[in-house]
Amino acid sequence: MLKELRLYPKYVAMSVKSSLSYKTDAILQIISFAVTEAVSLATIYLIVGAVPSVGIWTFEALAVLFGFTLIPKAIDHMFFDDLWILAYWAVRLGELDPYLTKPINPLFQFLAKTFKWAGAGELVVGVVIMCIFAPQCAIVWTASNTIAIIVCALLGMFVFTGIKLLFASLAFWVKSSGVILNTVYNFCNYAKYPVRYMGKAFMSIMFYVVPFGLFLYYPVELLITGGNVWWAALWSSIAAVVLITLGLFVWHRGIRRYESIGN
Amino acid sequence: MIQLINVEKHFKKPVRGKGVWGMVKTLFSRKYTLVKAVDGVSFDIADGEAVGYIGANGAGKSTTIKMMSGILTPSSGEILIDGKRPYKSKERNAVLKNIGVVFGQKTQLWNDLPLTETYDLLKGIYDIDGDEYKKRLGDLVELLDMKEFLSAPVRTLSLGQRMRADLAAAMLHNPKTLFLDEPTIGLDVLVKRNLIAAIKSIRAKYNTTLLLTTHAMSDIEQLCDRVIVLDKGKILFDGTTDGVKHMFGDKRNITVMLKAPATPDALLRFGFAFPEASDDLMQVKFTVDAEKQHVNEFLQDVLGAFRVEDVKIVETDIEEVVRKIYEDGVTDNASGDAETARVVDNAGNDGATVEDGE
Ligand SMILES: Nc1ncnc2c1ncn2[C@@H]1O[C@H](COP(=O)(O)OP(=O)(O)O)[C@@H](O)[C@H]1O
Ligand SMILES: [Mg+2]
Repeated sequence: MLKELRLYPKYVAMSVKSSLSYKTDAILQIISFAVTEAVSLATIYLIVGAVPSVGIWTFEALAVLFGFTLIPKAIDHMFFDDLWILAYWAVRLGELDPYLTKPINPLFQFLAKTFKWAGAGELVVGVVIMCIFAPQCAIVWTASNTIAIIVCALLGMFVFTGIKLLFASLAFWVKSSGVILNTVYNFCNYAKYPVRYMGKAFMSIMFYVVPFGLFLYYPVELLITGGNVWWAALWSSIAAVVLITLGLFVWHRGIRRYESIGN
Repeated sequence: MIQLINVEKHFKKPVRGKGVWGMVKTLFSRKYTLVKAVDGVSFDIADGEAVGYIGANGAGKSTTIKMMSGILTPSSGEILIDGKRPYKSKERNAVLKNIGVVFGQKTQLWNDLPLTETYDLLKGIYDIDGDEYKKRLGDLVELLDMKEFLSAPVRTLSLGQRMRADLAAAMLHNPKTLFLDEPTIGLDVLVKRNLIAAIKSIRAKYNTTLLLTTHAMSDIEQLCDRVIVLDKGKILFDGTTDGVKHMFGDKRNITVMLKAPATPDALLRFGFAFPEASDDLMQVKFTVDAEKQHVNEFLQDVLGAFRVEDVKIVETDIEEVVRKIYEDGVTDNASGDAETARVVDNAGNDGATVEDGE
């Protein structure tokens, strides 16, 4: 583990350098993700304008929620995007071979090699939206809830990564698990809206089955209603530990079944 | 010391139905055919040995190397490299530190970055000490003649350069054992010859144990003292390189292009070399057993008897050797037959063109 940590900056530097050899590509990625997110926020604005606001959920509050959900997703996107490749092709096309012949964790090598600028674009949009709209909500900022919401964002990244690792690793059994992963992952989009008002059944699913409600929506709800955000941090850390552990377990089980590719 | 003890690797292939309905059934059926890619292979390789691992396409060579280098887990049997198993999570790091692998078809280099970046990362991965790294990289750059492309992005390298670079990457941490899976595939004759020469000098310098798969018999002749022939997952032959050559008779296929049509008389004179003339008698193929006949003497005789325009000599291809062993059994000393034409036509052979002196 120590060696992996020591090498991580080197990997990130190399993947950033690699992606910079396609500068326009990197810039286009950033812009395209920023525009996509801005458009979906505008959509929320139009919808909220058309219906009277639901309780505390003014447009400003919704914008803060929207901005927050982007942050953990974006950080995961920047550093762990290759889990999609694991899900869709790496197993089927035998692309894991070179990572298995080196005396260092193969999963680490596979994930550390790619840095995604698109994620950086998403992160910037998320942070900017939060900075614009948070002051316009009736949030009492204290050192405690500020730190707590940042902790929630970081833990949220691990939950995203854990979910991706878990479902991507199913590829070792089904060769390509991209469709499954995509279906689960897309539930995160519902967490951009007040999950609590979407019906009991759906809310339970979003909190306890695919926990996007728990680690994306819940922290912001607590922040806006003046609750204790650390409760959300606690639940997020439980979700992170459980999902990362499960993901690693399935990966380790799966890699033993890895078959490479014939010719 | 490498030991393979009754190693098997099976792949399950789903039984595919025909047509749309068949495809749907495939999705839900649990029927498989079992491909026995490696089917009970045992051998030992001592430290410092150089072994050629040959066999037809699909014989199971790559699968064996993948099991020896940590990529695949055997279905049964055991692989011990200095007593440790590369496919066990607790033992793999200890094994992998001491081996280097090159798969000719795949690169382990970072495509968009200069080679030096990949090497620098490998320095960290294998915990290579700074001074040691500098010295070793310097030596390899010289042995493999890599100076000119050391700082170019990998994607701009030619296949031959890339192969040398991959070889250097596999040797950087001073592995005790090197696995090379078709390192000369797709390279043209001259590039290939240089690469083989470089591997030879690397081995001379570091005394690395070598396991090599290739399609060119000449690669094996130049690098390996021992040959293991694999066929359909089973070992067909395991012995010295000279033994294989002897068994096969070390055939050379010599084609001469003529300035004037060959006379039947002259052809009869060379009957012992199984001449095969083209319809217009302007081209004749001979098959010579280099063990019984000096090739240079034979050429002198041919040059004296015919008006020769050009001469082409083609060595044996591995597939040919395997086929021979298979058809004739392991003891029989093969005799030349009508396969001459097929050998000459085989693309990618080591064809040496000799100008005639007239
Ligand atoms: N990942 C795989 N999945 C299914 N079949 C495979 C796989 N790898 C190899 N095979 C099969 O196993 C056999 C041996 O393959 P391989 O070891 O690549 O042969 P070689 O390297 O000698 O050409 C072939 O029939 C090949 O199709
Ligand atoms: Mg092969």
